[in-house]
Amino acid sequence: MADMIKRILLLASVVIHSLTISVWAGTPAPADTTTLVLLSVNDMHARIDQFPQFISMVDSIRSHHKHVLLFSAGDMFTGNPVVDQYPDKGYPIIELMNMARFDATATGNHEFDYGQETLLERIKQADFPFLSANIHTTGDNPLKFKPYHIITLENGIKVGLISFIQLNEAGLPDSHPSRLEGITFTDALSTAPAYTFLRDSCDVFVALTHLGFETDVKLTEVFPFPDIILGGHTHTLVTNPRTFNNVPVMQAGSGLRHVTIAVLKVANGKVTHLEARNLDVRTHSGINSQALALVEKYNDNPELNQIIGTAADDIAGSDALGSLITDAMASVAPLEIAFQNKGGIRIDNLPKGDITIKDVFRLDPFGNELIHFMLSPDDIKSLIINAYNREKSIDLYPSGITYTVITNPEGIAIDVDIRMPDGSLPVPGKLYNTGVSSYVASSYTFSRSSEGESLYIITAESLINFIRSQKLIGNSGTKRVFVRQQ
Amino acid sequence: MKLFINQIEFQIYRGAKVMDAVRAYYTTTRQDVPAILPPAFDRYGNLLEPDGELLPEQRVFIFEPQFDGRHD
Repeated sequence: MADMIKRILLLASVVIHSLTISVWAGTPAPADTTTLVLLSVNDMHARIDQFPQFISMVDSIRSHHKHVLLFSAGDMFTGNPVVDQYPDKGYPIIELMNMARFDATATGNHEFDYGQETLLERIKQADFPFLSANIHTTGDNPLKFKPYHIITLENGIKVGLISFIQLNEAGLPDSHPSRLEGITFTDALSTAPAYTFLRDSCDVFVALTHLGFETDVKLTEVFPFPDIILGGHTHTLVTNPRTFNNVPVMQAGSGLRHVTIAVLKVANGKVTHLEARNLDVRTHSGINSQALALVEKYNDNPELNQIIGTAADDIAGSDALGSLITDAMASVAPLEIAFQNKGGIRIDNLPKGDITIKDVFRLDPFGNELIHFMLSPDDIKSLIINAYNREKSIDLYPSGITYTVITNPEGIAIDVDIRMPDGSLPVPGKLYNTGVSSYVASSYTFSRSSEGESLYIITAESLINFIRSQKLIGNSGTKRVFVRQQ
Repeated sequence: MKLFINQIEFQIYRGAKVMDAVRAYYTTTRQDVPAILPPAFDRYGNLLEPDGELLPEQRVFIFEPQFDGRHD
């Protein structure tokens, strides 16, 4: 077992520096061969800062090749407050993608994060289609996704695209279920064979997927027809390009740091040669000045200085600030109890007066997601005791309960007295909808009565929504955590 | 969902990202979580970005200087 792990890690360490590889080589090209360049990025997650370099790089490639197509393999949204908090959420990256002249995008799970109505608006503003063959909306829902798309080049060569979205174990894309109401999803691997006809309907057949690398590999087992799979979702930077069932599978990391370039030779209606690799956008020396001006305009967005509420008094110290954060977390359905760790509170004081979006990201800058667990009182005790003993002091600030850590003379937590807001004890054995940050969920030891699931909202977003809804925040002096020696 | 890191099987919440899984791996194996997480790779040797999303039963590999392939 150890040898196998060492082999994989050795492989990784060798190929990470050698991105160029021919993944499939056919016979020498006939004279009437067309060179087609496919460029694909995935999981940009609203990171717009790289666009000036990226567009310059794409333009440079276009200046050298007549036939260049540019794709996104999904998840363009969510991950940058400049884009996520823009009044028309997500619009800045749509404008930049239009400027870059994208030809098509796969629909990723995070495309639903702003809600269906907003997604519909963004689709209308995009100069490129949003594709997915396994997202199905009913007739009265204006949100529609093309299952496939065929692009005809100037010389008549047809490039067919098919797209699929990832589904989790609940049969839904990874976004909050409330944003997916009224939409049905079918499994990509069972849906794909219905589109086998596309292979014969086009000269070049591309699967532009948002399934994750390992599911793309499985796709090649049931659907070995594409000339290449350009994928997304797992943020896999393919450093070791290879084929699976004779299909090259590529993915370009995330955040627009890399782009997949696939150079295809097409003759007599089929691909005769294909080379694929990932390019590092950050090493490109050119800058598109028009895109730079647009990115600077968005980064200077006064919306981040928008006042979303007012602090009635100074909200100072971890107790008050932690309580504010957890009150916001607990306001997200279906949560009734929430915990925030001390290390995640990054300012000492939220001064009396206006609160802006920037203030929220200074207080809670990490982008942690809100994770939902069903926890019994004993589970909650184990979380609190382990957190206290890990830090040797109070570490978790709650909403929905107050608690007193009971320590032995050596200062080790041995028990916790938990109280509900009305002073009563929690019901033994009852499971409470409890929220913690993804950092606490993954780094802290505690028993749990459910596997847990992300609510696909970052804690800062819950705080922005909470302050907006409350308008006047009065957490000053709040204290919900106490310590008592046995 | 079930995951494997360096062949150690453990459960993690749905929607966990690569960095969450790596942290949970250290917690599961009773090691201190390092301040800077090591790079993670898939079974094909490709790099997984820390904010990458995970698939059920995915196998992830990380460098561990002291790791000899065995866990008690």
